[in-house]
Amino acid sequence: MAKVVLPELGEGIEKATVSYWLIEEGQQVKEGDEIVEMATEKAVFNVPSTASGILKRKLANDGDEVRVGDELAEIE
Amino acid sequence: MKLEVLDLGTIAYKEAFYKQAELRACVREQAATHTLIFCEHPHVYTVSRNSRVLDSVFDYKAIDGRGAELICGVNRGGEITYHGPGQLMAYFILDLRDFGRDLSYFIACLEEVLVCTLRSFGIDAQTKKGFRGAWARNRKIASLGIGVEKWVTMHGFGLNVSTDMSFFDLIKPCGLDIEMTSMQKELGSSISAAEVKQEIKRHVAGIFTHQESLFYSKEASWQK
Repeated sequence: MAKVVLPELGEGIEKATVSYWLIEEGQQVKEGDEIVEMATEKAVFNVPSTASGILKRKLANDGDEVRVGDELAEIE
Repeated sequence: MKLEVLDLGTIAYKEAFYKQAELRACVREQAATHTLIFCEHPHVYTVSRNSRVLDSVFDYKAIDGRGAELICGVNRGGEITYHGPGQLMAYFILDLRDFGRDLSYFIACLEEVLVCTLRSFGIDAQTKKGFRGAWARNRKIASLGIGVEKWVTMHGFGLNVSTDMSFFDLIKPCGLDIEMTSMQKELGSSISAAEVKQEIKRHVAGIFTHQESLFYSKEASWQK
């Protein structure tokens, strides 16, 4: 089981908000596929999957605030 | 490292958006170099897709009445803003893998470009703690918002050079109760957009790479 976490975004950015999921639970993803759009105050960006497999579980919902390093999804 | 400059003149927001998206895909595949796009838009209000701005904050009929377009769901940070004639847009299609992979630093660099540009025209500009963009005392003179995919950016900032400020009266810019201003308003005289572009280019070169030879310009042949 691989975990996708909110990556380091640069000095001073500690958290971001989930805009929406690009991939649903149960869908196949490849490593590097973008799975979720996140937003900070002035930027939006997509987080890629860190592994190939099935998106088993989303660990944050649309609108949730997530801190850098927090888990976003499980890939199996 | 080179940064190409495209000057698209006046162009519809959506058309410029598609151009940015197309270029971003090329930059990501290293089929195009980093690009700075200058342009202006016809009157348009844009709302980011993460906006918390409620419908009640703006008046659709009033927007229609001013002959402006309303575009929602834009893939940039920020809230609602206005773009129009006299507002110089600078869109940055940059691969941040070449600039330290640091979103925060990139945004700070954009603000620094704005502040340095404004100061070179004698405007006492600064950033404001807790708020983004560039400010002339307590008035906001430029707004920014970016979208990033696989470390490649799009969008950038809008600098009010000689904007008709009454268009901001219909909204809460960036979702804030603030006063907006322009270079013309601050200086009490008109400013050449061409001069502003030159200053922006100069400061982008200095701030992003410390190399004056960063730029080469190319005619926007795709427009023809």
